[in-house]
Parts: sequence; C-alpha cells; structure tokens
Amino acid sequence: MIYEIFVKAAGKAAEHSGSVTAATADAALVFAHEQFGRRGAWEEIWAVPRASLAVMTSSDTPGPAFDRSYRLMAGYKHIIQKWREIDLAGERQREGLRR
Amino acid sequence: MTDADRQAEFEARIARGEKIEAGDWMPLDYRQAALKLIQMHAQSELMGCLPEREWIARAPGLRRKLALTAKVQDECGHAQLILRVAEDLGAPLHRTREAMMEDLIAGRAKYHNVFHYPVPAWADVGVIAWLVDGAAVITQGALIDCSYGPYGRILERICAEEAVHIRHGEDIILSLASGDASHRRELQDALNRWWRPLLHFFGPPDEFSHAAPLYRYAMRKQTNEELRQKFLGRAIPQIRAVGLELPDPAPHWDGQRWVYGDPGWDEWRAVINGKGPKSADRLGLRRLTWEEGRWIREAVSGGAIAA
Ligand SMILES: [Fe+2]
Ligand SMILES: [Fe+2]
Repeated sequence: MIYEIFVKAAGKAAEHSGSVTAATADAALVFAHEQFGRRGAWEEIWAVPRASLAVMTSSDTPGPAFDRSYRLMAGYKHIIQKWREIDLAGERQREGLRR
Repeated sequence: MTDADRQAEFEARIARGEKIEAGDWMPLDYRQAALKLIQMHAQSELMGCLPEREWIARAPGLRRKLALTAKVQDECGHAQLILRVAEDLGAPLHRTREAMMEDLIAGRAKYHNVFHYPVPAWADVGVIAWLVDGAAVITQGALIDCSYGPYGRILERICAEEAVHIRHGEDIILSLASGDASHRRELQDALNRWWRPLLHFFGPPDEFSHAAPLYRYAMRKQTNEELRQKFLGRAIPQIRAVGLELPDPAPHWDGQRWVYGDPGWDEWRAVINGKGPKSADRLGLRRLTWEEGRWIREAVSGGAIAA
C-alpha cells in the first residue's frame, strides 16, 4: 500500500514530504522516519494511505468566468500609484519631523 | 507526572518560545483564555460580514459589487477557519461549534464593537475596509506569533487576505477623495463617524491585568494601548495625505506617544454588551439565518448535527 507522508516541524504546519510503500501504517511510519525524519527537526510524522485521500485538480473546476483581480494584491497596483501622487511618503516624513 | 510538573513543563515551553499544538497538554486557564480570545475573533469575523453585505447591492458598479462580495466571502471564510481552531481547543471543555453559535445568537457572546454600528453611506464601506480592516490587521498581525500554533498559522493566511481588503478600502476612499466637494464631504463624515469606534476597537488602555493569562502564556505580547498607538501612527499620515481632517479632538504627538481625546469607554462597554445602535438588528439577522439554514447544516453533515 502507498502512504503519503507529511512531516510537521515544531510550530509549523505539516508539509507533504513524499510517499513510501508499506504493508501497514506502523511500517509506513518506520520507513517514513528513515526517509524523512533521520535528520531530526521534526515534531510529528503523519502517514496517510493514498487511497484515503480525496483529491481534486484545478482543471476539474471551472476557471473564473471574468476578471477577478480584485481578489489579489496585484489587482490594486494603481492604489500604490495614487498614494504616490498624493505624497503619502512625504506626509510620513513631515509627520516624523514634527516629532 | 503530577499536574504541578506538567504546569512547570508547560511554562518552560512557553518561556522557550515553543508553539503549543491542539493535542498538547495545557493548563485549564490557558485553554480557557485562548478559547475566549479565539472564539471572540471567530464571531467578530462572522458578524463583520453583516454591515458590509448591506451594501453589496448598492455598491456603485459591477466591479465594486464583486469586490465587496469577495470581501464578505473572505470574512465568512475567516470565521470558518477560526471556528475550526476554536472547536479543537474547546473539545475537552465540551465547547462545540454549535454551542458557540448558540451563545452568539442568544446574545451571550462578544464580538468587536465596530460591527454594532450602522453603515449609512457608501463612504462608510470604504472607511471600514481601509481603517477597520487596518485596525484588525494590526491586532491579528500581532497574534501571528502567539503561543498557540494552530491559531498563529491560520492568522498568516488571514492577514494576507486582510491586506487585500485594505487595498479595496483604499481604492474606495481615494476615489471619493478625488471626487467633487460632496464626495469629500461624505468621506469626511464617514471618517468622523468611525473615529471613536476605531479608538474603542483596541479596548481600554488598562486591560493588562484583566487579560493576565493571555500575557503570562504569551498568547498576547502587546497591550491594547501599544496596538492603538501603532494604528494611529499608520492611519494619521494617511488621513492627512488624503486631505481629510482628523476628527475632533485631533490626536497630537507629545514627543512619545499619540495623545487622543477620551473616547468614552462607557459607550464601548455598552456596545460590546449588545447595546449598540445595530446590535439587535444584526443579531436578529444572524439568528434568522442560523434557523433558516438548519436544514442545510443537517443535509451536509449527514445528520451528525443535532437539530
Ligand atoms: Fe477578516
Ligand atoms: Fe477583512
């Protein structure tokens, strides 16, 4: 059976690290530890049977039917220009000088 | 291991700056204080959808309608992400998501003061996204480094979305500011309306002792006043650059900090206890959607949720 392996470092989210083939979950953890945990710096190792993963791919979902740049920082580049035009940086500087 | 040993070990972990995970042993007062903070945040995100949704249909132009819809969707998503964190934290105390929601609609739960106020004009929508989200990102940004790992990690993602909300707000207010005199008047009026609630937003300056476990356990590292000062330092030059007047009495820098007029903490206290101008209306709508949505929750949960 194929197990997908996730390694969680202390304070961090678990990250997908790779996969191992093993007969049982315990064996998968032993292999995963050898493969992905032998250099220390891990807090938890998770083994998930690949068959248990529910997977979707982006091509299965309809793409945006129209421009959705208002959801992204990149959609507001003109705002940075507007702040420049009304001299926010200068205002910040004058504010600093007033102090 | 005795509870005293566990407590000592826990405090040592906090002192080392380690992150606490959902399954870790933690003292009851840590769990309770963290849960209270996180639940208040989740419910604020949820209630924060309501003032802005009032303007979706009235927003000028399709793009602004879509952008506002997207923002409301993000806020609702924030509530879902944070409620999930709260559920794990509350499980040993038998605090389920349903119990948290029941508390909210029964008026027993607190949420941010700013969501208890009306949104009379389009300019208010801009000021909310610009300065209310601007204030929220200061509070939430300071919590990314909190001792509870699952909450800090989810806040990273949330703050990234908040940054887009602030841009969306700046887009609205900068358009109004470059409009005619009536647009600028509308914007100034909105800023004047929101100024006091914004000062209230961070809470009274003397709350350090009240929130003691949060500081002792490194859930919070900055006081209400430190956060408010940071907000003022960011907002005031922007307000001036836009050509707006600072609402009366205008804060001034005294060489060390921003000095602002007494914002009237009685009003803040009344508002967060459900006596704000829109508290009853908004909670009424939340109650209605909670009841009307019951069949949907039952359907998607396969009957796992009690009716
Ligand atoms: Fe949010
Ligand atoms: Fe937001």
